[in-house]
Amino acid sequence: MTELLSLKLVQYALIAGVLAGLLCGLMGVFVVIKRIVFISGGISHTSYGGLGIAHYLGLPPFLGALAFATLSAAILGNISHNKIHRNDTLIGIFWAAGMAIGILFIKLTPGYTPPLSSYLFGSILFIAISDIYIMMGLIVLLSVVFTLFYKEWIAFSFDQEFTSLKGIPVRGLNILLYTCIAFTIVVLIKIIGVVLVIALLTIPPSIALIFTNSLKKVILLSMILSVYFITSGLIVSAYFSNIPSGPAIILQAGLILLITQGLKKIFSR
Amino acid sequence: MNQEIILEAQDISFAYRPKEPILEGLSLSIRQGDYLVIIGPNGGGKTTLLKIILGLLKPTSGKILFNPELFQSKDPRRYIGYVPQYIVFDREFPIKVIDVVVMGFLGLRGLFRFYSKEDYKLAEETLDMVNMLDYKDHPINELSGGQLQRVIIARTLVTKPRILLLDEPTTFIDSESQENLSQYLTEWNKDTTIVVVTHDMGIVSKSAKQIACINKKLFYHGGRELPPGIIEETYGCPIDLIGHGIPHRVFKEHNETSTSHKD
Repeated sequence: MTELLSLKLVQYALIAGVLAGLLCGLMGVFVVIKRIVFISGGISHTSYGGLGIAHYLGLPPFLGALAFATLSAAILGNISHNKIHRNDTLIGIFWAAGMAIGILFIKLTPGYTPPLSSYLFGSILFIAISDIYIMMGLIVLLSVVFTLFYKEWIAFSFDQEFTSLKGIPVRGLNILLYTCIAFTIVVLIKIIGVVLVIALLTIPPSIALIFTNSLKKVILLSMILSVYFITSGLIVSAYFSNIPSGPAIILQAGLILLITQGLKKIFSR
Repeated sequence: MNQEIILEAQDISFAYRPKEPILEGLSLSIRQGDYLVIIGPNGGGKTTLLKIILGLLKPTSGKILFNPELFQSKDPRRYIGYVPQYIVFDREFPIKVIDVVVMGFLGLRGLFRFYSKEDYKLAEETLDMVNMLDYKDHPINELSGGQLQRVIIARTLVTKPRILLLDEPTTFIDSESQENLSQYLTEWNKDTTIVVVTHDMGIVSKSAKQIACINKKLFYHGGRELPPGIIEETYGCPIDLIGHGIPHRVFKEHNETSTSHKD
């Protein structure tokens, strides 16, 4: 175990895991309370198309994923704001089309191609130093936004119509929210893969909401849980090389959600 | 009745699609101290008019004028209290009653600063006014529909708005809460101008001072003694329309849409 932890690769992965946990614990709370779980799933799966195209063109795959994620976030976020189209239909189309494009281009890439499953379920090997910088930047940005505009952000999360009546630029806050979600998702994809991102965004806030009705505490607890799930899952995955990090993280999180829900049922009787 | 005009809707038209107008050339002025109940059929444009007043929708033509002497701010809409028909937020949102009420000060307290102790004190006083002070530390998911509505009303009253707009306030509350609401509105009307939009002419309308009938156009705006036939006219009865000398062209259009709006 100590040998394992001394590996550079594992050290990076753990640092990235802690940062990713802080980030997804925070953003997950807003995904859950603003009920944009399906949009977030759409963003995640659409980014697979970007992964595929970048792969085919010989560009860094996660740059492609980021491009697709922010683009789909901008489109889906803006459409939910306008309430003109049928949201869920459009999200579903993005979801499937992104996957189709991704699979097609990865298959078309000549020579060696990584197994599809490594993008779908995550791999500890994807984590790079640059991710650590990106996440640190995001965390700093979000801390500044939250401390400076805390009351505006809470009102915006709670009641968008009311907030816009009070002259707060709701559109701008929406763009910020979706951009941060897109960045968070791309970072998480590396660790747990396209398919499982949505579980990591939703399970920790769901557990936290069982225990407390205060938003601050929900955010804090959700961050702690996310950090724990990610780092412990990464260690399991590093120890047993045939277990991908994604399932190791999600199964643990799901199990704890089940147990806490069960305990709540028993105690609330 | 010679009170100052608070706001004036001038020749407002609105349509989502060019050939299906929701409001056509509607003009209406609201005076200080009014207790105006706007009635009309569903789909007749009542809520649309409120949303245009609030700036949530932009009229296709026409404009809303606010009396500059009554609204010091550049943005008069921040001083309007609005209680929407549907609860648009998540009732499971982890937030306490008092924190919802204090949100009323949003946009009036400057950025970078949190609500002050004074704000919280005012919020508690307002909760007391709506008989919800005992619930101030309860999470909102423990409240009934009527209680939640009172919290939302407290959120708008806490800033002492010049004018309070309520959209179908009786839809989701029981008859006892409706009775209470009616009493509160009469009480608040001493300081605040009140506009209520409703399709039922029950409890809330009883205490109204003025009534307006709207179905695409303004059919009536005046005291609470409605002239005979005005209700039938507003809700779409072609014979009355001819009798009141409205041009044939308008009558025909009205006839077409009144069938499509009936359900």
